[in-house]
Amino acid sequence: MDSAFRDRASRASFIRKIAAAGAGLGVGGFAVSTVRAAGSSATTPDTVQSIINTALVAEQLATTFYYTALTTPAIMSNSQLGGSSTDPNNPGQPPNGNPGNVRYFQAALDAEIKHAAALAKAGATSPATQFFFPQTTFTSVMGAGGLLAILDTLETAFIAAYLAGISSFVTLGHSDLAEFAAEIMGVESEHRAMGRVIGGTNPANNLTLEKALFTAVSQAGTALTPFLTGQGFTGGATPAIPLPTADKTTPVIGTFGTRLVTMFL
Amino acid sequence: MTSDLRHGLGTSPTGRRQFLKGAAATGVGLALAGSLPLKALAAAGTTTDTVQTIINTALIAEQLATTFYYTGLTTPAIIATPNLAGKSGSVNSVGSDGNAGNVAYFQAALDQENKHAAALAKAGATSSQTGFYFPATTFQSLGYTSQVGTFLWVLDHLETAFIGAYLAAVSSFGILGHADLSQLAGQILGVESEHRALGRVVAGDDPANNVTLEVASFTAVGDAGAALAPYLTGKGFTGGATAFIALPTQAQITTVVGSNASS
Repeated sequence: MDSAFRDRASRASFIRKIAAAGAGLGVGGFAVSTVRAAGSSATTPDTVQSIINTALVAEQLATTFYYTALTTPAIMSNSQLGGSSTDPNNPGQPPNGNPGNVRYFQAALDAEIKHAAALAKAGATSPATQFFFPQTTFTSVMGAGGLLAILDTLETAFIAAYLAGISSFVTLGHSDLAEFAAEIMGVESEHRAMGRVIGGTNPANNLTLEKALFTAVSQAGTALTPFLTGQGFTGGATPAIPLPTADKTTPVIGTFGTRLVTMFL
Repeated sequence: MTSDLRHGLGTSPTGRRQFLKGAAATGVGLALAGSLPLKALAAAGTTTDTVQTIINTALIAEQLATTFYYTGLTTPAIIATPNLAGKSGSVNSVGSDGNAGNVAYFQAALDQENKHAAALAKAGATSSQTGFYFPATTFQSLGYTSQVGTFLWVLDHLETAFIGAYLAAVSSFGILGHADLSQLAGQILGVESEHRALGRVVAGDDPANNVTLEVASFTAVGDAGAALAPYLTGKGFTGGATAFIALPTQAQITTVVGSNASS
């Protein structure tokens, strides 16, 4: 999976993409009408049902990831998170803990749960009741196989999945769903950046464009398969970790959930 | 199905009322007052936008953002604060009394907005803007996202507007039959979402990532353009506007971004 996540986004590809897509009126010489015709002929192997099903699995995976991080002493005892208390609702103060960083994770957990609930209510289905992670995910915060590295990999995959969802929804004639996918995708982008803030990786916002790694949501589903099966991680996998229930996640989130803001401007 | 998805998330008190209080103080957003609720006015499957108007508006927004971050990074009242460069006031030589990580967020944001603008311009977007206006107190203090008229308050509102504009672009490009451009708007939107959250990190807001979904403020990109009009004209800010601030040159931007350019 790692090889699929190589950085393929660049400014040059950005310019090529927009030019090829036909906004490049002054670059590629394409007439808008020509590009419209090309755009309308696009196809996708995705369906609305397959997209929301994959999205639900991804949100459940993310929920399990953040919940496990927030409840694993080896993670929470890090001075950049809970410190010696390891309690997400009573983190230590710097240098023995960082409440702001803990709250990023609490809010992320809350957001993923709400995304999953919305998808399920809309008809998405998922067979997943548990997930696997690379073996060292919950043994350390830093390092190549540590929590923040896996966070970056997962959130990058989720962002790319929703970007593919945008494209596929449009191709399927659902611009409204494309916008909804984008609303979620932006939140996943925030999560990726927050992970980099915790890691002290500067700049946290290191990308000119979010990475579009998949041409279809189904590819994202394939990329996430090791997290469902435990097979395919170099170095092995954790034991199966059950999807947490609401009575477990609610106290962990505490008062640092997210809000659905329908209008701000 | 979109309504089903939103319904599944429930509702909670929104920030709109709070924002309007702030808007009344500064005038920001007054252009929207007669057009809400925008969502309710949307006709299914139609848009008032065209590809050209979308990219033109996006270019203006990116130029505005470029001017905003550059001015923040070069104004002593903003940059020479403990949450940014400290007493040195130097973006590329942050003192031990400053916060290099926070400065890096803004340097990278400046770089990204500038690159977005350059790409849009190269793709045929046009803008006649040579500079912008901001609420009069924008560059007088770093402030907080909750402190009306301060730099971080304006950042929060500008980035939310940009996110809303690109969300509208995702939809409008889709209606116009451009799945690829919808996805590209999404790629930019994600970066703007990071900027909003990192502004909240600088402000010390908990949690910085406070929304369940990014806020869809506009039905069409044209509505975003109207909302940004005070920044183009200097008219409409209660409390007045800054002097005209010129769009920085590439040489100026490059120097300020330093080694914190984005990939």
